[in-house]
Amino acid sequence: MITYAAFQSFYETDLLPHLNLLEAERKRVLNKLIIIITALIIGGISGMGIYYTHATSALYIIPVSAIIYAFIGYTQYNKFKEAYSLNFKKSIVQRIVDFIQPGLTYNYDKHISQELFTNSGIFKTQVDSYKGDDCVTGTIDKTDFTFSELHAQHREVYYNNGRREERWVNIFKGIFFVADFNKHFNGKTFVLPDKAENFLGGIFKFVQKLTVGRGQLVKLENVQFEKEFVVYSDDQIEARYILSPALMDRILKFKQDATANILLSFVNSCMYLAIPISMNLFEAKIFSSGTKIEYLAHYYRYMNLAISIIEDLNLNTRIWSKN
Amino acid sequence: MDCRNGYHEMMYRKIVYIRSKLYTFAIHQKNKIMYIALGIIALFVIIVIFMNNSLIVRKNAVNNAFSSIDVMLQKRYDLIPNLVQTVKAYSKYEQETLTKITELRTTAMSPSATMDEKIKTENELQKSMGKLMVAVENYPDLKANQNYLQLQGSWNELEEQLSASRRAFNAAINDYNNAVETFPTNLIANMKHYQTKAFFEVPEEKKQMPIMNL
Repeated sequence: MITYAAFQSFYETDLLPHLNLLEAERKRVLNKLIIIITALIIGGISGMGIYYTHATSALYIIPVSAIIYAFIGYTQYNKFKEAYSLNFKKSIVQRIVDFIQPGLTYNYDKHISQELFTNSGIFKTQVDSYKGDDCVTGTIDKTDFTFSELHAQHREVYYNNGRREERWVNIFKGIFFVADFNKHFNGKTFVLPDKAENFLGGIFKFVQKLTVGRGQLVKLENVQFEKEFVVYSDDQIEARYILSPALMDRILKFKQDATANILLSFVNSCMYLAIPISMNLFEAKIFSSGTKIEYLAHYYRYMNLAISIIEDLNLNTRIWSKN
Repeated sequence: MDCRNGYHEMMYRKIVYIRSKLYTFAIHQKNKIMYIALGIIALFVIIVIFMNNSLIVRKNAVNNAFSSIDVMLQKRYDLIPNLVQTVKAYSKYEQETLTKITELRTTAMSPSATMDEKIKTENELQKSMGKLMVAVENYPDLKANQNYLQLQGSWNELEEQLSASRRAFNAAINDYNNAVETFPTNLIANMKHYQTKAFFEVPEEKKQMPIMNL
């Protein structure tokens, strides 16, 4: 766990020089965009001007060439934007990861496989679009883990006045984390946000029993945990074996630190943790300066949060039969 | 005169017609009421069946959880001889503790023990094992021994699973007691003479066990 103060000094000594270099590149990319837009405006205005003043058609070459220039410029702009984003990730995000925990592998273009995502059993909706990036893999002490940003969507068909229409619905967007759990177990256990309890009080506990395909409802002793989460498992005893009172406390604290409605599942002796985050993380800014530390603070926050899951949930305590 | 007779005839026919309509209407009403009453009774019967079944399910859950505890305990007892042997091979100084543990194991496994005796023996065993594991810290060879480490890992795992069984048992008891005491299932429970059951208590000495503070 790196404190924000430590990150600040790291930012000043190590990141700032690279950020300034990238800033120059960003300005070039932005300028390209501005030129393209100006060209389009010129093309538009001149085109309209020629049309309304009924000048010679030969003059149309001005708006036409302006628009062609804009199109060519746009493809160029995209290329430069890609290159700039890549540079940003390779140079800044990589450094942040190395600083928080040396020895990890960061791949800006890789992500957690869809198979792993589906195997977790957390999200049961069919996935029609699956993308992600910023994958970090490695081992901390005795725990192997990997996490990445993911964006999974479902194409929903609905009928509007008899007409068939489609829209994209988010299944999950945020950080998805997978780690080797420190105990052996055989079945599946799910720890999901408890919406009914918060909304309507304990009255609707029976509604929770109706959720299909997740096994039995498990009622645990930790009152606060029961308020925040609902637990399903195919084995009551195994669920309690996994969710010791200490682990329940730790999960609660982690949820507070993350300020998100986290979801967990325990399948095949692995732990899956999904942190829903609505913004795009670890992306380079184009339209404003990316050098200020306030902007990088959320990079630091989420990288730190994900990497510290292992410590926070005490996954390195290996006193049982699994090591 | 004919005219007036005809008029009375018509009135008479009308009255008879209205009367018969009222009569069939009343019969239909009666049938309707009968059907509604039957429906209510059927609903009532179904509710009673559900309540009875839920009571039975909870009672069985308690028994199931209780037998799991026994299974876990048995697994632990099975591990002890191996553990004792391994420690014996490395140290001559822990004979006292080792003998005590073996004795306790025999007592715990004897079929004639009552529930209370079993629990008491169990606590003693827990304490002695704790002492043993602390003492092993003084034998670096033994501490690093692969066999011992594996046995220790298994022991801890069984401890954790036993704890999980106990918690599951208490949860099952909680569910059952709730059903027995709350309305409307308490009516059925009283009819069947179901009593509330006691939780699995953790005695004071056990709470001082330092091994698994995770």
